[in-house]
Amino acid sequence: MSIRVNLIKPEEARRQGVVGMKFLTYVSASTAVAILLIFGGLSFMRYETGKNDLTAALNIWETREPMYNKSLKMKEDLATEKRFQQELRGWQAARIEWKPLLIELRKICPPTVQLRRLGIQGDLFIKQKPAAAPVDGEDSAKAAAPSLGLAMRWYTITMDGKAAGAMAEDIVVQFVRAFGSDPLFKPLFEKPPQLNSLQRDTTQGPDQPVRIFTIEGSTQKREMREPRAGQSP
Amino acid sequence: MDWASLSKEKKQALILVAMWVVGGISALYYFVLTPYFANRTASVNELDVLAAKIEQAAVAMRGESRLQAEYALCTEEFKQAIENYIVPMDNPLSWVTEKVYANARQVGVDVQTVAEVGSGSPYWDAAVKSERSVRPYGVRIVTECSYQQLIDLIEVLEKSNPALCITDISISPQDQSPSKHILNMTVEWPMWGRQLKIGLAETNKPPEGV
Repeated sequence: MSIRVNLIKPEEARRQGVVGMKFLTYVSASTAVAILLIFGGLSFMRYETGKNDLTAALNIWETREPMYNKSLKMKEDLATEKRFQQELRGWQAARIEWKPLLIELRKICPPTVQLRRLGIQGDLFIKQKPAAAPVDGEDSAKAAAPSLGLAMRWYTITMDGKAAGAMAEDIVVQFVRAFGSDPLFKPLFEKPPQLNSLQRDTTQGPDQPVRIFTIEGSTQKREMREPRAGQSP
Repeated sequence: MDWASLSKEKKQALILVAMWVVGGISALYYFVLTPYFANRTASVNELDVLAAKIEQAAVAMRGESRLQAEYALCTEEFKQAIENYIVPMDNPLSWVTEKVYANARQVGVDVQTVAEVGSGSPYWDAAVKSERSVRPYGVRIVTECSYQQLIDLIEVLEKSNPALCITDISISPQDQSPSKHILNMTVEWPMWGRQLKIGLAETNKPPEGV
């Protein structure tokens, strides 16, 4: 008969394995602490780098911001100035330069025709363009950028005169034709100018064949808008 | 480690350690890690925004010299236009009369009358409120002159201001003096309709008459 007596106290017992329980506990705790330290250190480094980058970027922005704002203001002013000049060019495009036309009128007027009265009357039409509603995703301020709307000028030219001579009527009719087909006047008119009246001048004696007449013509409507490239005003 | 074989004191010590660990980790998470990462995220976002702004500024300022040259040229033209071509809002008739007489003197025409023509129009009022910056300012010029003088007067007026527009001309004969005609002419100048929101930073002064 054999008896096995366990003389080892429980606290003296050793764990059966490669490493002991104490070692495992220490290594686990140290690994956790080491991982935490490495991770924390790396994060701290990244944080410090980021902070430095942010400070550097803030310094750069501090220098550039006034320049950028100045540049933006300059662009804004430039756009306003261009728009204003565009408006003035529109005014210029809508006007008719009368000097060459008055010289030409004197040239085409037959010697037996006397112009008694010359009237040029300008009319102006203006209409606002409704503001376009902003489409999805479009900046409302940009969408509301005003357009110049529609404005146009046109002129009515009226001439009263008298023609003397045997063929006074024919001369007046020829003058009307010459007026309408003249290379300077023709492009201006919407339709050829018309003879409104032609009658005998009753203030003259019967032996003096004098005819008094009225001619009227209207020009095309001229938009107060900057002419497009290649388009003559 | 056999939990059942542990003494009561050891069990209590282990539970206490576990509580400390859980509490410590929770405290670390809530009071250290979360604020740290939140702060870091905010900083990273700020950095991203700032970097985008810097890039945007760099792109905007890439053509800076060309922009400055264009701005200088355009501003010069603008200043010339506002000084010479645009009727100021203060005392417009005086400004226009001065121009008319100066031009008429050049061609030897003696102007009799320069009078303002009513140019109030609700359409123009609305237009200058929203889109246009100038509106017409018309004056009637009455004089006696020859046909050639009329041509000369029109020429100097039109050359003096590219935006000026002669809208009405009426030439009537005079029985007493056949070489001289009665001339009635309406001339329209562009006049400021509203204040332009423009700095003119280089001159430090607002557009005249605005």
